[in-house]
Amino acid sequence: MERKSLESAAVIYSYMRGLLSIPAGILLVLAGLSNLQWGPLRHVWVFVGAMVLAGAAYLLITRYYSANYGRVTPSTTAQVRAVVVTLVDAAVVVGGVRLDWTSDLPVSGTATAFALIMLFAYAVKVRLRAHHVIICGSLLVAGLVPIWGRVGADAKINVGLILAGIATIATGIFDHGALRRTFGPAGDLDHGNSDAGE
Amino acid sequence: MPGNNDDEPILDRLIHEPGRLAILTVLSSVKDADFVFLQRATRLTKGNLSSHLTKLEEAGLVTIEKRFVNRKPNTNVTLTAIGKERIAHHWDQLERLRNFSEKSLRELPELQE
Repeated sequence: MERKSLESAAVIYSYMRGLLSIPAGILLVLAGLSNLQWGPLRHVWVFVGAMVLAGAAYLLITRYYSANYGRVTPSTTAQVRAVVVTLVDAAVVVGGVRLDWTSDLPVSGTATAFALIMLFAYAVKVRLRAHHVIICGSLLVAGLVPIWGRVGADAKINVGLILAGIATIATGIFDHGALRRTFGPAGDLDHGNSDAGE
Repeated sequence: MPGNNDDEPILDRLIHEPGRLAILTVLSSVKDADFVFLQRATRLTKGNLSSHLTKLEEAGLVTIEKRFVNRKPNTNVTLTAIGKERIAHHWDQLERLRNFSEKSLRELPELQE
């Protein structure tokens, strides 16, 4: 019996519900496009509508996970750790965006900040898996490649947001796959190992 | 199993059963969890999980709350203070037993010589 895998089940479940990342990632992409005044997204109400839809999708996905994989309340330690990580993440993103806004460096502070917070969050909360390293690593490289000079702060921040959104969606899809491998496919509940009991 | 004096590991039979050990270990790392999550995490069948939970509740190691969430019945399980103590103690004992076995294996060649 693997003590560590049983003890980490709740943490893995809490942070690998990858489908929840999809509406968040779509919102990041739409925020970037909206700021760049792209197509219909130049109207504010389109983005507000997208936020409402993303919120509804988030609730539906939460219900899907609760119905198929159950509910769990993490320990106080895990909750405190999540709050600390969220505060650090917020500070890093604000720092990255401010860097793009106030300086003319040839790197994207926004894309770099998102890559760093994703890597940091996964490393602290669960453990880094191959897809985290590949996707977030690619975002980090994209942010640090010196091609961002002379594009202007607006483009730098918003393209950074779009790339971060795409990385969030991709990570979420792979996270959901990892969750299915750990806990089994949805709706497949009574095919457990009956020998494990009496 | 060694158990001739107080210093040697003695395993708790109620907890040592693999299904119940898995349930209590999962619960020891969370505030509470529902039946579906426990089934996912332990890979036990509904019947087995239900029977183990009943035994653990009777022994005072867990509390079971039946409630409605979004108009659907939901069974929530929490480890009691005694349950926390017993599962921590049990894993300590298993760790000691493992160390004891490793030590015995290391000493084996010397005994043969």
